[in-house]
Amino acid sequence: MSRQDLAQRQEQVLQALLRGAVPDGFDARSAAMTIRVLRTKRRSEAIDAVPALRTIPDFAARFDDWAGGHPRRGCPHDDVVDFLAGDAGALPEPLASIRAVERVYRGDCRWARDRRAGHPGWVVALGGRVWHLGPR
Amino acid sequence: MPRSPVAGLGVGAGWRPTIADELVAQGRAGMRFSEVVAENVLPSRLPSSLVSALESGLTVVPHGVTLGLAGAQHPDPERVALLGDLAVALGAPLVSEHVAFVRGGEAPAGTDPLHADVMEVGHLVPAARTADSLAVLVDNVRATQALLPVPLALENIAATLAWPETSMDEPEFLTALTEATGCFFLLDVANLHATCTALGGDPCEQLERMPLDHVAYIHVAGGFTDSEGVYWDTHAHDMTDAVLDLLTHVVELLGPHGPPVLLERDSDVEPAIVRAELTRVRRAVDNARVPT
Repeated sequence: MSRQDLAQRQEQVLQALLRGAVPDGFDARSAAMTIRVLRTKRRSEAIDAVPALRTIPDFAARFDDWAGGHPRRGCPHDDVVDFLAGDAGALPEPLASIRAVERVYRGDCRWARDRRAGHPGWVVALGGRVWHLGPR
Repeated sequence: MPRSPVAGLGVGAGWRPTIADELVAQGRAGMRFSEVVAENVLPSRLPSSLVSALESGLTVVPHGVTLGLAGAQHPDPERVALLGDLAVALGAPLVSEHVAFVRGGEAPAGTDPLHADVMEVGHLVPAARTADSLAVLVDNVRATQALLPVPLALENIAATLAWPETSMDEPEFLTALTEATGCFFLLDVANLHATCTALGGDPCEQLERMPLDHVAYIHVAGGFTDSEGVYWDTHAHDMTDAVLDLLTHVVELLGPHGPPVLLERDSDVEPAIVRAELTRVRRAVDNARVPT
């Protein structure tokens, strides 16, 4: 097996484990233990990036549910923003406003309230741009 | 095999910011050995509390966690250079890393590795133990050794993943690695215990077949055993008796003045906890029945 073949093999196995699947031919128990470890690591890196995640009710279960279908695409901070944008449950502030604003930037909705202290109260997508409106 | 470059340095603890003062105090009281996670400090800007630890007489070994030498990618020369620069800055007689891979894919030269199309796992993943993967690992280790100003020691990780194509057990694989490259072996007794509880095997029997003549130093750490009997190497709990017994056995095999022993603690790193755990490590070392 060449270095390139080995790279493909390692990448395939990693991709499967990171999405919570048992790679072909692997012992299910051993894969399950590794999936658990990888999820825990990913979750703890997310908390390191944004400690306020600890304030989310059932954070571990919600993050793990989401993470199974969403491989990390960048750094741990990207991961947090992706999680917040993709999570459907209730969030405490300031995370709720961060999610609302992110969804406007992603084009998922046209406008949102930003309830964070010191931020203008409204975020609106208009004319190809995102505007932050209201008193600062 | 040359003697460990840190032989005879006794029992030490890993340097962490929250116990920096405690380690300086221990250094003044006779402790001589420590280690720092290489990715947590910059060679050009050593924390003043780490400099104080060096001045108290501690030998501090840089311990890398992101080279991923068992990965299919060539080792990143910049990461290797940082490890080497840190060894020079600390005056360390060796550096250490792991027999593991930590990412899939390779960041193109000059790109930002945090945001390139690379799966950074943030965890030490075991590679398959085959002749082909050994050949790549040996090649990576030799390339790394060629760039480092000091010898390299490689550690056995706590593995939960068993590759179906594996054709060697861990002692065979690590023996072949150390013989092919001349690298030192960082023997982690807690990891060995963890791997055996997760994947099967007798840690004592495996220990005796490990490349013991290549051991540079020994890691010991805390963890817990779950309801299924699997030991999790958390570095956040106190050490278990099973792991300490394994440590005692290693000292019986290698002698009391051989490779030093280093306690790793990464959560609840408080002076009182580390002091108490160090006492337990020293007791386990003293319990060794060695020929007089």
